[in-house]
Amino acid sequence: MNDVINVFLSSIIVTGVQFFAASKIMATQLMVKKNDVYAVYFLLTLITTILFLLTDNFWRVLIIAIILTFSNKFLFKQEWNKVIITTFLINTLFAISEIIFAIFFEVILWLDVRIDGQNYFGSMLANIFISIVVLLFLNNPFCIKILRKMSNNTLNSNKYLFLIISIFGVTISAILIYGTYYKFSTVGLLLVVLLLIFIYGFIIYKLFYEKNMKELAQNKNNLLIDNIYEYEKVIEVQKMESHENKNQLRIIKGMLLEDENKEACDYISELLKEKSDKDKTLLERVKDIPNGGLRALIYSKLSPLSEEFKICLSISRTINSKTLDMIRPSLNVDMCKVLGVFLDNAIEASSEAQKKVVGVELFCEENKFYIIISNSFTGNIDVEKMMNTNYSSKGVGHGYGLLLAKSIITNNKHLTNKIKINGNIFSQTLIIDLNL
Amino acid sequence: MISFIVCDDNLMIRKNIENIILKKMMKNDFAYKTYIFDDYNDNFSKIINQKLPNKIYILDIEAPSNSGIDIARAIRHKDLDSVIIFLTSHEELGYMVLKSELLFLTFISKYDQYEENLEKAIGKAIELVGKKLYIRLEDRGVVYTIPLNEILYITKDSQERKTIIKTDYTEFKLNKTLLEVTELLDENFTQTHRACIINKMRVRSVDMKKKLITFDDGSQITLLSDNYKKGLKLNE
Repeated sequence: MNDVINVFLSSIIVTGVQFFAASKIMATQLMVKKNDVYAVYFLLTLITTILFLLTDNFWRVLIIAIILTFSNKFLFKQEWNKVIITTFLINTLFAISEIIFAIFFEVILWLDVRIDGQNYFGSMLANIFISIVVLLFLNNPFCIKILRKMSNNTLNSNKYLFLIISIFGVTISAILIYGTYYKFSTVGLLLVVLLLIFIYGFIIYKLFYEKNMKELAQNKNNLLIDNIYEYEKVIEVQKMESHENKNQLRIIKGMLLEDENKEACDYISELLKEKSDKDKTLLERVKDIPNGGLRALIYSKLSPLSEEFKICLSISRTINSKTLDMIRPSLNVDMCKVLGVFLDNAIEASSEAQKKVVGVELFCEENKFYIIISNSFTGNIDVEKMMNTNYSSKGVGHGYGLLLAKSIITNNKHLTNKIKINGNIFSQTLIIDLNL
Repeated sequence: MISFIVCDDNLMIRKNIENIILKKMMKNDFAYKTYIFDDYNDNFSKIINQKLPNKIYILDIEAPSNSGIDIARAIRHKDLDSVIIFLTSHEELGYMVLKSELLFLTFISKYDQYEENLEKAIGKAIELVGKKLYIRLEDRGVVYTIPLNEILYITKDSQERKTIIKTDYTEFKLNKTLLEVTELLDENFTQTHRACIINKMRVRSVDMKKKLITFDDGSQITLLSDNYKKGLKLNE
């Protein structure tokens, strides 16, 4: 009977600490009524007690972890990925605390864990000690910052993958700790080692895959930046040739006698008008953007767009060649890389909207250079997900461009990004601090 | 009292605009005052900063020292509710983007029936002036500017603990309380349920028995409770 009470009280303490840990790591409060909280608390305590009494097997750790995951999902109403990884983190915290307890056992109490551990393992004293250590971790600002970051970084990843990794993680940590107190068969231990090898291999593969995708996005942007200066020269030549061609046509028209060559004159007039209309498009409009890479970048992104797209290009008079001269080459490259990504995303998003609108605005204000990339959109935008790493509405395997842009902005103190949603127009503003 | 603030570098156009304003305002009882400028100079900047009632700006897109677009940006830093009308001498392409950012009423071409168009625009501006047209809020670093007339209803998602603003084209999910959003609305919004506020101007019909509200875009909600029926003064 004493054992039952002992285990029951221990379970109450541990369950309470687990829920507190979940709330702290996910930085959220309970989302259900008090009666539901009490019911879940009691149920989890009861299950933990029963499992502790019925078995010494490490499987109880796994079963409790799974039940804890469902409890946290019910109580805190967070995304599955976040709940799963939080439960895994809680188990890891408890595992670390247990190891600390075992070390304390050996070093301070001068007892042998393998011989005497079975008497203390699972006792109320041990659970209180372990819970206190967990609470100390949770109250450490540095520690909680790391835990929250880990908990939040998984929002867009494959939830089934996380479920599998978390289950394996919990199982293996339980096996390794239980192995300290209880004997395991050699075959069992070898299977654990095999499992660890597979998981390790998979993690390495995923890391290299992510690195590769980031490098591909990086290379694509580098190629673009390497060529934009050359491209600007091409645009300049193209503009001059277009102007020259129009002049030549006018001269030819002037040489012809209209009465005798009416058809030819009309044809040339049509050509001139057509050329005039076309010149009102991008090539003519980008001329107000000073040279330095930006003009070529914007032209190269917008010129392939079909006539379905409405392009808004607004270049303020506050922009001149001196503006771009104030920007160091390395900052200019970063700026162009980020804008390249923003433009790609804007074009992609607006192509799915009914009214396909893409806008570029450039202006200076209070010694800052503003570049606003806007686009129409369809459906709902999840800004919270967008703020997290490699989000993409295009699904898994995409979003590395945005990741690259975020990384550049984070690492460059002269760049800031603001997001605005004005009705059905989404815009990203890149602000370049000209106070260099 | 309505304050017309006009800026154009062309004397003839300034005089024409004054006449159009006079002609329009003679047809109604509003008091008004007109401020005329030939350029976006220091005096004009002072007017932007002054707390004049019910401002209607009529701005030339291209003036000697500045552009109307930049001026509109400066205006919008200070207030969202003044009405802006642009006068332009060329076609403004893709103005949808600028409109969403600068919240102006319209562009009017100086060479295409501009007097007639300007008179209509001023008429529209008079209807809008003094009214709250937009709400602006910031949530997790993102600034949302939403036209009030595009909002159908606002509700609370109790699971995610977010306020949802439902418009014609999308849903905005914000980490704000319903009360925080309610404080930004105008008298056209009314509460129909503990967790729902509707835009009365967008409601097509209300079925009190089925507790069903149908909006003019065809969407429907059932967030109508007995406690809030009295506040709902609509034709069923």
